[in-house]
Amino acid sequence: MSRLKLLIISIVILGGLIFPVLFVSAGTSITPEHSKVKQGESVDLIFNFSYSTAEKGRWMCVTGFTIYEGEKEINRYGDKRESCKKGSYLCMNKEDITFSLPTDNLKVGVHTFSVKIYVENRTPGMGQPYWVKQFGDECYFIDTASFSVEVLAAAKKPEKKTEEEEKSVLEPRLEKLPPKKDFKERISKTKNIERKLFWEKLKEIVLGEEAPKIGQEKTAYMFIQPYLTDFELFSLSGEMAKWDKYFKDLGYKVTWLEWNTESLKRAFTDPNIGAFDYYGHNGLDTEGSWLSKRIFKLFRRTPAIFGNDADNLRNLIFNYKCEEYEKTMSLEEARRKAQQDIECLGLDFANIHACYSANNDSLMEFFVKTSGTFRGHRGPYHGFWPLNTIKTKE
Amino acid sequence: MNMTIKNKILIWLGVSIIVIVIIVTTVIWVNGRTFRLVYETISQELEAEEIDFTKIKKKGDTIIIIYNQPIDFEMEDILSTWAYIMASAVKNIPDTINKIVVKCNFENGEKVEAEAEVEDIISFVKEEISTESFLEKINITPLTEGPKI
Repeated sequence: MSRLKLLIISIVILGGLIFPVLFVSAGTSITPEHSKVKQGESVDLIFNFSYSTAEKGRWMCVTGFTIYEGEKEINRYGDKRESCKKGSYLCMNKEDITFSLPTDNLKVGVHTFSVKIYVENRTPGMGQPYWVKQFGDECYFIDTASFSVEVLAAAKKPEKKTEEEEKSVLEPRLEKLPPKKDFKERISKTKNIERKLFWEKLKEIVLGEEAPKIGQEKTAYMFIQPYLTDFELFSLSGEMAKWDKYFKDLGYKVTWLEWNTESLKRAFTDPNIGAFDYYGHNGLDTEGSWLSKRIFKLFRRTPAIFGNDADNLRNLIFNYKCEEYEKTMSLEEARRKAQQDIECLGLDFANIHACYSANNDSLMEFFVKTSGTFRGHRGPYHGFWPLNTIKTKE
Repeated sequence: MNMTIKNKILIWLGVSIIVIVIIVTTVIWVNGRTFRLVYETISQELEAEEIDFTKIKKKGDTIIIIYNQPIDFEMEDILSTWAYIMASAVKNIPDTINKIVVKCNFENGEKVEAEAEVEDIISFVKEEISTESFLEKINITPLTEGPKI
């Protein structure tokens, strides 16, 4: 019985001595050897190096270690000799090194890692605060160790939508409704509202090809007929916004004016006028009996702007131009020059947002130069829709 | 009394139809009740601002609100009315709705639709975006020809 006890005790003691030698790398231990973490979390490992000194004053200095999974390098620590100089603890072998291994890129399952440890031989320098390298330049491999990690599936993060949904259940998207007057107050502060309202369908309908950008400074004069009702103005706002953008995109300076003597004078005596755009009624009516009016409306339907057909417009603009020229030349010369000008104003573009403006070419002949673009409306024009006719002067 | 197979099938068919009808009716009733509550709240809020609200419809992720608009208005009036209707809808509708369409029936017979994304409406009401940029984000679509010019 006593022999058996002795045998058991011997086996236990011997096993205790042999086991670490067989299964643990000499000089290096990693704690914990096996750990479980959720994916995305990191594993905290303690590396303990217990290399003995080779001789007095000479130390094994751990310069770094590299972690492998199979042949693939997963991570590394230190490994540069410069770090030895600054981190004396690496050489002292007194402190453990704590290393955090991220698991973001590891798949769920058990992973076994091997570690290769690199060292240098060093000796304390004379009065120097760090360890001085003694032998050779290269760090060299001295030992191996291993550890394993079981990566568990991470708890599913709540999706963004779910968060939003939860939030919206708790908090309504709008807690309170401001009174309408608040909105009106804010909108009233917006200048030129009608030119900010692009109308979705109108955006797509720009008659004709995009014109090339102009190289020189030119102005597009945009005229709005006075006395338009609010509803008429509202109905035209989509077209206004579209053409405002169109001319600005082409490089024109865009000037909006109300149709009156002063503004006409300003626009048509400006040598930089390049485009003319009108929003308002045709305004041309005729006096006479009920029957003659009906006949006129049926058959003539002359293109006109606020009651002025092409001839009337010529006369108006002739006067403005004469006045302007007279400032620098004789009356006769001014009249001759003005007469020349009003044959054709020579604009690049003319858009007439009025009924019947493209029923014939009279307005096109007056406004645009050869190869210039004229847009108008054949038949009655309704404010919500774009112009239906485009012509290039030949 | 012996039941033939034919009779048994007919009875089962009848019972199944009754069950299906009950389920469908319940679902419609529950949905309708939710929708009626939304309708009533929006209706009250619009009437409080003297907006002549006529109908509210749901189409996919869009709510369409129809109202009558007098034509003697200024531009600020109509835009503030649209903004108010949109804000009222966003406040009361379920979260699954992403777009609000205001269908504006003018008293002269003209019709226009104004459409905006819920996110843009919220940003405008909370003053996170400027009035200008909100106006530019509203898509306006004419449904009729418009007045003769």
